[in-house]
Amino acid sequence: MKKLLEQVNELPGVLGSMVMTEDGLPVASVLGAGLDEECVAAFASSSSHAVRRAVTHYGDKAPDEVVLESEGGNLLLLHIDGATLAVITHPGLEMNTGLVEVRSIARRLRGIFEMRTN
Amino acid sequence: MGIIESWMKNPHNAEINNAQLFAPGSESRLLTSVRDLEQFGDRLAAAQLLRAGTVRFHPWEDGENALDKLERIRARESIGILRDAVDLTYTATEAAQLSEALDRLGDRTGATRWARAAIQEDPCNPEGYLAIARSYLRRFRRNDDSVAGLHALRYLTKACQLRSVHRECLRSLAMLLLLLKAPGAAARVLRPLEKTFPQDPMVLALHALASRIPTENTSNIQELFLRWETGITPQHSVDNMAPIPCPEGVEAWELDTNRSLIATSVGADQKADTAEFLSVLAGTVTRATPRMGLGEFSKFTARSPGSILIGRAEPNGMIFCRSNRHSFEESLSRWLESDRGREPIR
Repeated sequence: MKKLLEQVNELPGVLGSMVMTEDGLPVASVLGAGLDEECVAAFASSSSHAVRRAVTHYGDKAPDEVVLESEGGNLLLLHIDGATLAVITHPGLEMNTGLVEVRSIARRLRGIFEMRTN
Repeated sequence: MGIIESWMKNPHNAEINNAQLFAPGSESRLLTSVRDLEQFGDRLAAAQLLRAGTVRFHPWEDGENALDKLERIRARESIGILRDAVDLTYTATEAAQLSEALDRLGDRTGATRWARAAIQEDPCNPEGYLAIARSYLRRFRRNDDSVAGLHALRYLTKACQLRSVHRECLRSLAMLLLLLKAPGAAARVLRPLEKTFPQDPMVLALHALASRIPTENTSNIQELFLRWETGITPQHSVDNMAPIPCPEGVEAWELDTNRSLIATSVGADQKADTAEFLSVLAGTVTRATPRMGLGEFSKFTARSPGSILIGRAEPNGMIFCRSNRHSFEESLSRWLESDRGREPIR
């Protein structure tokens, strides 16, 4: 799992990545300098939870992707089976092309989770 | 005074006297009882009583200092046995106990390592999650550290899911809820313990504390966290709700800086729970990005199968819009960035 996170981090503009369980517990993380694992895990998880609850409240399906944009960077939350991949990027990252690569790695992470749960 | 006389003089009917020790202004009486218990060599009971006292009289520096001292003595006494135990018969419970002892002695790295080892050894045993949760809960209580509070909640929730009637899980969860000023929720958590362990000092202390806090008007724990952190309670009122002119097929909501719903598009849901979910979402993302080191929040986009929800920070609050059409994403973003054909509502 760490290897896949390192691959995510090699993408241009990515500052760090983390996998959390559905209930918000950190599983693995590879974060760059200046990013605190405890803080990222706590707030990525609470953001993911708040978005999910607001979206599903309307009867919509839980979001596959959430992008939080801020002046100093972005947080991408990709839901994979039973877990969430959180990716932190520079603010200027081209979200469309960057997301394609991240999605591809998220699919491989899904494979790992499926193997673990089977 | 001899030991026998002291024993006879001191009240040892804990069942009768414990409740009195948690009455307002009983801090020094409680400390005396703790010292008596220590004198008689019952450090476990002394620690349990003092732990309950620090919860009841929080913030109570003398109590916290005395508890730290007592807990360290107990941890030093047991650490050798616990290390032997994990070496000889390695179980998740023993690893979790070692983690707690190390945490008491200030070795947070060692404590985390052993708690994680406990979870790895038996992911269905709540003890490892509980050991981590209790460490975070202590930090939350003593340092008002919201990150620790959020982690405590996650790990406690997991532990309670694994064993719903675990005494320590329920006590810790009730403690967290009381710190968040939610006596109603705490009372519900404590109910099974009040029946089974009515004289447990922690249960009595939590009950005494709960009875002195006004009942909360929300069951949303993220809302409770936001109120604890900001001191602001949103006021959603459907009266005087301003209209938001909106493109067809789009619903929109606007919240002010206090996270209160102040405007909606025609036909958008204005129910109290909708307002609360959006309010929690606004508060959570707004405080998340600065705390993660990413600076001020500006926008979020949530893509679900069949729908899209976008939120954008405004100078005086936040605006949300939702559509069932994914293809609307770009035009919605442009619409949010525009003045939306109206004067700002406020």
